[in-house]
Amino acid sequence: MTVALIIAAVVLILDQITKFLISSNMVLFEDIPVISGFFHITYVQNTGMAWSMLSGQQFLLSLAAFIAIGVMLWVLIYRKPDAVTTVSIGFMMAGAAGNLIDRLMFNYVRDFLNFYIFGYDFPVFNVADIALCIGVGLLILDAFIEERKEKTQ
Amino acid sequence: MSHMEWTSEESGIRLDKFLSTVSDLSRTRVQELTKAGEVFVNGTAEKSSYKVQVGDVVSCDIPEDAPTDIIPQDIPLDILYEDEDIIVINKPKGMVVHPAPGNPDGTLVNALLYHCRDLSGINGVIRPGIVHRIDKETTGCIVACKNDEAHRSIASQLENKTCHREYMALVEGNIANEAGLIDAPIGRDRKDRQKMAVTEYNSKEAKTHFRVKERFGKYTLLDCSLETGRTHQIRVHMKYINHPVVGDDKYGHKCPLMDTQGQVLHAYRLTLKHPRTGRKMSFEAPLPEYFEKLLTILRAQQ
Repeated sequence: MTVALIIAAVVLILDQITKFLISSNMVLFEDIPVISGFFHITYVQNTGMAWSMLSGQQFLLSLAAFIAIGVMLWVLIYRKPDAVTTVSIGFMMAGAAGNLIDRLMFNYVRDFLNFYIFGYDFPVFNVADIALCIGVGLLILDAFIEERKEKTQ
Repeated sequence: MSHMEWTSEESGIRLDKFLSTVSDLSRTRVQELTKAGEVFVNGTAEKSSYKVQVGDVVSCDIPEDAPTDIIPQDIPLDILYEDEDIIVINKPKGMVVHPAPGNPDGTLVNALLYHCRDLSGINGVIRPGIVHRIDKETTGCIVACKNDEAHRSIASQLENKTCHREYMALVEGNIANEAGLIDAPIGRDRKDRQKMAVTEYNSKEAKTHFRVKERFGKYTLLDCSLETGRTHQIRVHMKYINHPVVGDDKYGHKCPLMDTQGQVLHAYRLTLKHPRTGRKMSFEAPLPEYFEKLLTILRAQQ
């Protein structure tokens, strides 16, 4: 429980600090090539979800994030999950909360990490998105390992 | 005197028509230049009726406009910010940015010449200090530069997007989405050279992001952010998605509720990095009275 909350708090602070630095120093759509043609810092304001899906459904998205955080807290308190799940929940909570804060405060999410991979302009994202991916990734990995264990037994 | 050159990829088109399509010049201007012997095909001066062939190299010498003296005029300006490098103005409705044929004075440049002793000279005698434009009937933030360093800085900022403008636009109809991105290239309208249009022919990439601010059933108030800055971009893009800007009789219709004197469009925020300090600065211009009045009428109708 405490582990998850500490992870969530640290990642959330990191997310909000980076977003604040970007939005206060960069002009909307400004583009700083860090590794030209591969990694750019580009400030955009995203009104949708990941990959701009569901663009514009701000209220639904915020509600979904609220419910998700609620469910995760419930699992932490009443289900006493294993170590990997706890860590993964910490990351996922930070990811959900980081972008929820943006949606409630600005009605959009501040994104700035812009990768071009194999000539494809990958969607611009932020620290909260990374946390969410790490969380979900851990959960999937955990499920795989659990399944293997059960099979060998 | 500036020299320009094009190679034709088509055959059988009149020289004046060809030139007015590939260049920014009007057909009348092209005909004047042709008469004056300034238009050459493969090095020889030709008449307007000459039929251009594939591979013809058409070149043109455009004499600089006669250096008309622009008179400083004491026109009151709504100054949002001013220092020794830049001046940010809230442009009123109906004011033209710089003198042009048919509009020799009463422009923002005339007012600026009166107000400031110095303006950057990069853009020539006709457009001192001017780095970007706002349409005549559009209101809101515009920045002018007082020296050449500031001018170069803001010009490159417009290029690499560190100078950014946000607009309030009232559009016709109820937009289905809460927000969106219009990504459609804009070029000169082939049917009407006075207009711009979404076209694949001789066009440039144009991106407009919008977010709904308020809905009035038959109308929608939008907050627009421009990722690119093409001529008439918002007006053309809104027409393209079938929600033309209210009052825009060029791309849409007159406003039936009140005389808006053209499109209901206001550049409410301008963000840039100061040319000297590099600090991010943001300037805001309040909605003009007529715009607020129109919104009040629409709210009352709800």
